[in-house]
Amino acid sequence: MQKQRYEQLPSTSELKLRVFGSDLPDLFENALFAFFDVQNLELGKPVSQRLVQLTGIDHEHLLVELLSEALYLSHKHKEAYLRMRFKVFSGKGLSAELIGSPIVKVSGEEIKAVTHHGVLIHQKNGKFETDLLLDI
Amino acid sequence: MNLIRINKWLYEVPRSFRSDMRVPARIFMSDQMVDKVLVDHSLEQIVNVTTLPGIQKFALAMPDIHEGYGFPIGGVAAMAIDEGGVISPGGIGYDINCGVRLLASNLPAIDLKKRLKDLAAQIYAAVPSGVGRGGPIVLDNKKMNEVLKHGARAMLKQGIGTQSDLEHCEELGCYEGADPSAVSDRARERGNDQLGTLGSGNHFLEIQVVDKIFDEKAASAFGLQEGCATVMIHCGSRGLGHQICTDYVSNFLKKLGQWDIKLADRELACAPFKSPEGQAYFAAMKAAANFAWANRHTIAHNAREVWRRVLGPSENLSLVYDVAHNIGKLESHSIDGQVKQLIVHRKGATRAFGPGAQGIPADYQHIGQPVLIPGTMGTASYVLVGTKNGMAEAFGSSCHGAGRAMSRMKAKKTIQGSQLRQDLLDQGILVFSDSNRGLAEEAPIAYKDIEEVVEVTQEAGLARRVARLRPLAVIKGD
Repeated sequence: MQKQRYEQLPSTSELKLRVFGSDLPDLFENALFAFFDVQNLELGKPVSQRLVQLTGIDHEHLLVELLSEALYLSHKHKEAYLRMRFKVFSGKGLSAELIGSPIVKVSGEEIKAVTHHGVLIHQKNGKFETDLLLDI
Repeated sequence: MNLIRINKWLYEVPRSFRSDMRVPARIFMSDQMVDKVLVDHSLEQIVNVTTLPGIQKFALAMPDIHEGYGFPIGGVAAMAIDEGGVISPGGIGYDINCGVRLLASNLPAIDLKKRLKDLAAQIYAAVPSGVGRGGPIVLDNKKMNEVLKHGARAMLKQGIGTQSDLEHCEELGCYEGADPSAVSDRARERGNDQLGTLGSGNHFLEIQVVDKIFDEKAASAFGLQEGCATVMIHCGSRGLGHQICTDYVSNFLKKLGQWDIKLADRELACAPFKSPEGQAYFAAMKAAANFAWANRHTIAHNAREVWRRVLGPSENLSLVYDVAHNIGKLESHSIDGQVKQLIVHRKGATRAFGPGAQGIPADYQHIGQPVLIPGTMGTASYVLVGTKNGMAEAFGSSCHGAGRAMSRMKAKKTIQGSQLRQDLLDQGILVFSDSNRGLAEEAPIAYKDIEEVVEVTQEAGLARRVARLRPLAVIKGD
């Protein structure tokens, strides 16, 4: 059975996701996947690797930094990043390659910012999870 | 939640409700609205706002309050800058200077009827809209700096718009003190091709008719005539503003320890207003606000050019007013008989200054500041006017729209965008939008009742009705 990577939750005015992961790196990668998957994008084949090096005050901050970085790179390069390869992952920093695919068409929401609202990484039933609220 | 009814239009959560509250929270709502407001976390959010350092009197919620992040949408909070008051990017919003511009004509809407489709189609072509869509104006660094520093005035220098457009714009189209160097390269990159564009979501351009006048004197002062056409523009600072907020929220979170600030919610991340960091954000916020004013100024110019091309060179659109509803403003207000300098945060709330107040156009001084309240597609928008009572009760603030009542997910499941398009057409409202999904999300049923929101706003004395505007054509992105 395919593991559930994320689900969309109701939110009055924004886009709310609940992301899951078997461990923290898996959670981060699933958050990245969810961020782009929910936008209903038509993509070309993966063509790029974008190196990101980020720091944060804790895991929650780091996760928002990762998605904010991905948002910026997506705008700049007109790419989506559904996968990533970690080089370093610690409590307050990460270094990773984001695998980029060119965006051919957008049919879903335009995500304009990643908020910190409700981001609280915790364990439930042996899995890591957190909510994300995205400004659209 | 300990809700005390102050009067028919005002409720309060007292300081005793939670130990970290510095002031009470007050919510402008009718008895009938209470159950709807309790459905989401907006009350908890306005209580969280009361914990911010330097906050004065009350954290306020307008009648269109709904859940946001950090601040609720429809939140107002004023911090005393000389008492350790903070500035919070989340209290201003990601879309800095999202706001509304209203233009009025002398053309009876009935004369517009045969040419409405052509007019709207040409405006739709002239004003780019939609997800991530850029426009024909691309700003290099030098031009971007001009826009960030000088706002709509930078566009006037290039022959776009008119002098009177500046005179009827909040801050005359330029918030002085903007610092382009406080704006990151990333923010510039996200905004460099977005000047003159509407964006997506709930942003729109509408051709409307003045449906009903409630206050003849104010309507006359504002140039509004019953039965005549108007154009309303709702948009903001696009990707540039969003990136600035993202940058500074992240920066402030890293520095909270040095200021000994504890947050009830990370999206309330803030800095002491007088700190270098607080001043840097304020200067960047002003720059984003200026970008947004330049944006609406340019869109209005393009709409005006189409207006004249289709309807005749003698037909004009004159600016009634342009006002922000996501912004922080440095203002003087009387607190317990003492005049204080406050940084007033309005997130999904509109400034509504009364007659005689500083900062409103000279020809509106005797009447008060226009307050522009966009409705939803298919429902009315309103022009209100600020009151002296509102200055005392709410730092001269008012609602900003109908406020969402339904999630986008539910709206898409409940409403068929194609059916909505037809329903609006059956009401005589043309819709220009590429996305049925986007239409469904913005359906009238997804929003609170604008009539109820405006009624509470008026009865609470925050602002009063001047005119109701009915849509004829809606142009929006997806």
